[in-house]
Amino acid sequence: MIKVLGFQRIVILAALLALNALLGYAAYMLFMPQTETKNRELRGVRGQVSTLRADIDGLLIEFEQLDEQRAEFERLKAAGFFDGQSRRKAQLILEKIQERSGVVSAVASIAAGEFEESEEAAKADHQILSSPIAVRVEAVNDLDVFRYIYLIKEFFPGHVSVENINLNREADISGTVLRGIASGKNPVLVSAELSLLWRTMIPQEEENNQGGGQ
Amino acid sequence: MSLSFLSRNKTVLLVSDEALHIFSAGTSGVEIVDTVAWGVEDFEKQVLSAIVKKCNRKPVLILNDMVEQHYRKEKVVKTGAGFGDKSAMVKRKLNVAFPSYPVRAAYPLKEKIKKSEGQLAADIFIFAAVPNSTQFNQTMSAASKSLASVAGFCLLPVESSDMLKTLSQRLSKDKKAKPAKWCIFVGQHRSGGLRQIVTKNGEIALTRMTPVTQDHNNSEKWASEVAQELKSTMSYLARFGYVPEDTLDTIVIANEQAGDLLVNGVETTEESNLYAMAPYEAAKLLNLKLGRQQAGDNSYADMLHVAWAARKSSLILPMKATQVDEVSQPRKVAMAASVLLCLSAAFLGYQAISSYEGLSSVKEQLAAANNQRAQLDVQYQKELAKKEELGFNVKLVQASIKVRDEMDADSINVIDFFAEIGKAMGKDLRIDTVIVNPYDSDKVVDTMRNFAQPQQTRIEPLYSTVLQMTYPSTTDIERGNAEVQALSERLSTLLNGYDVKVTKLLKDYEYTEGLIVETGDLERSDLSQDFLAEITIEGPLKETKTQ
Repeated sequence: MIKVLGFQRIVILAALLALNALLGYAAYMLFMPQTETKNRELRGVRGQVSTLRADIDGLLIEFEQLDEQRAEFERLKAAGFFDGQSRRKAQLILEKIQERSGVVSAVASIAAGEFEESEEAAKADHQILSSPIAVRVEAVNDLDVFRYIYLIKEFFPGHVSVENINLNREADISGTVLRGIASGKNPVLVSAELSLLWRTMIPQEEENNQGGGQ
Repeated sequence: MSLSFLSRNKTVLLVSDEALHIFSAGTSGVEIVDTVAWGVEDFEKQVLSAIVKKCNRKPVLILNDMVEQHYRKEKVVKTGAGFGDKSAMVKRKLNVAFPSYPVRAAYPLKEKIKKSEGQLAADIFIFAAVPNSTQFNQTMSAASKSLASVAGFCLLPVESSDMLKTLSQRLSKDKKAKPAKWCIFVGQHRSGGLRQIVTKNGEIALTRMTPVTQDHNNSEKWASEVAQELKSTMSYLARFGYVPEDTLDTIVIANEQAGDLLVNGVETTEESNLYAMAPYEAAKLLNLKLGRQQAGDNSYADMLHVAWAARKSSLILPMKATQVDEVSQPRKVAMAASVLLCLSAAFLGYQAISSYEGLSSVKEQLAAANNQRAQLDVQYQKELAKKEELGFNVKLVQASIKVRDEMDADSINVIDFFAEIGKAMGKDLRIDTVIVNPYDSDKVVDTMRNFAQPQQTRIEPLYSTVLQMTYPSTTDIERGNAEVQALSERLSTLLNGYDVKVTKLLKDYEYTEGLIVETGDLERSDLSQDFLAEITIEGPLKETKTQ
């Protein structure tokens, strides 16, 4: 081999082979994998950068909205949105509402409260306590019923939403009815079955009175 | 290590009967490096020294100019066989033609034998062979030991045949004229022999090597002897089919004085031309460089042959010999491998540089991104600290408002809703029953809607409200229905985002499914019963997720 090709040729071939191996190793085993790793790292850091940007933007927007939100929060707080659902207090308020609404009668029944799942409330370490309220209202006219609903929504502590209403005309205005009104009696002309949902947001560790009452 | 078949830089070993002439051919011209007689003791050493030291191991081309070289014109019948078979057939014929000459080769001429009656079509080949002489072995041994690449082993007359054609064309006054059919090239080599090469239609037809005087001071004698040899050649040509009507160019390489004497001394016909020129003149016509001239070079033609052969990238008739192949093949393979490895190294180098640049670029981008992340992190921490400094639970504020908004979104504002219904009613109409219930999507039998949006969010009403109105049995049905329809339209106008539809008329003339039963019942019972009209209001619309 050496006799035919000569030492110089063999050395040159070997050197070229070594150079190829070195360059191949550098390109494919060293630089390319490193580039891939660094690219992955770069994508990760870029992702973190965009998340941080979004977080900062979110914070800045929050700051802008915070004054407004704080006022709203104070209103909710004043309205008892963060209070426990005291049945005694509820009874007193319902009596007042019945009185002011002018309905003939209102029989309210508050069922036992249950905790509702709420992702948003959980973020602030709070939970939603939800108590269904069933009310049977009797009134001379439907306006009294609506007033009753309005007063509940405005003055009942926490948040009250109307789930069902069944409003019925019980009787028509007749001579007998008019005579009854004239004599100071309040004849029942309209009746309504209301299903309400009373919800407040309370701290997670707080134990609440979940008992029902009438 | 250079590319022997591409490089013009070659060491040309001109093998003559007397000695081995070593020439160095390159871009600057051809130079005679050494002449080593066959009989000298340190022949190999001298040749090696010339190839390695004086010629810098340039690829070696061995040009055989010995007297003993054999040519034979052979026809190979066309059998319709493939290229491989034809090649084998030629090889077999070559073996038969020159069984005792190991160095041989064949090449096809343009001349062909056409198929005719009683004769098959055939190709005409020139078969050439040289004996396995001591001179050849000595030359090959020296070339092998020099470790230089062997560009090839060839025969001078064959390789110079195309030189004649080119010279003849360049010498022709009428450039557009057809080249001469016959060409004779006459030139004396420094070994003393007069080499005559005859071509017919540009392909070798005959070659002769005869001794003539080397006394160039006696030009008359030289011209006379050359003229005599030329005459002999002409007599041979007649046997090869030459007739005086054929065009003939004779080119003689000689010094000016001898050339003039020869031109004046030889008779030419109308169809033949005789040119005598110095080697440098011929080289100029052939665009060859002869380089530095030595004393007497002006009379010899061998440098011209060497320059022409050295310039070739491919030989007309490379001679096949085991000794040549043993040396040249591995070296050619090594050279090809070197070229490939160089190309590969260039490619890999490019890849490595590109990858490195890519890596550097990514590293820079990563550093910038890390820097940016650090800055943003500082900013974020600052904003967070600011938030904490506010002194209240921001999370609770935001969460409670969101929770309240969600609750509002899921419930109906009944006060405003009833106010709108009141507006639509006017003073004359009255409603007997109002039923408000959350919308029950399970009751909906709109299969198309469910089909169109499977497992997706869909928009559906939040609540369904039913308004029922009672009309006395004496009511004009058409008028009552019109009132119900009008109320429905008014409700639609006032309640934006709600779907209002009459679900029950006083008496239906259109036989809708729900009303046929009602009407039928009434007719069957034949009772004087109040009419009941019903309007259903569905809304507001809300996006809900289906499962």
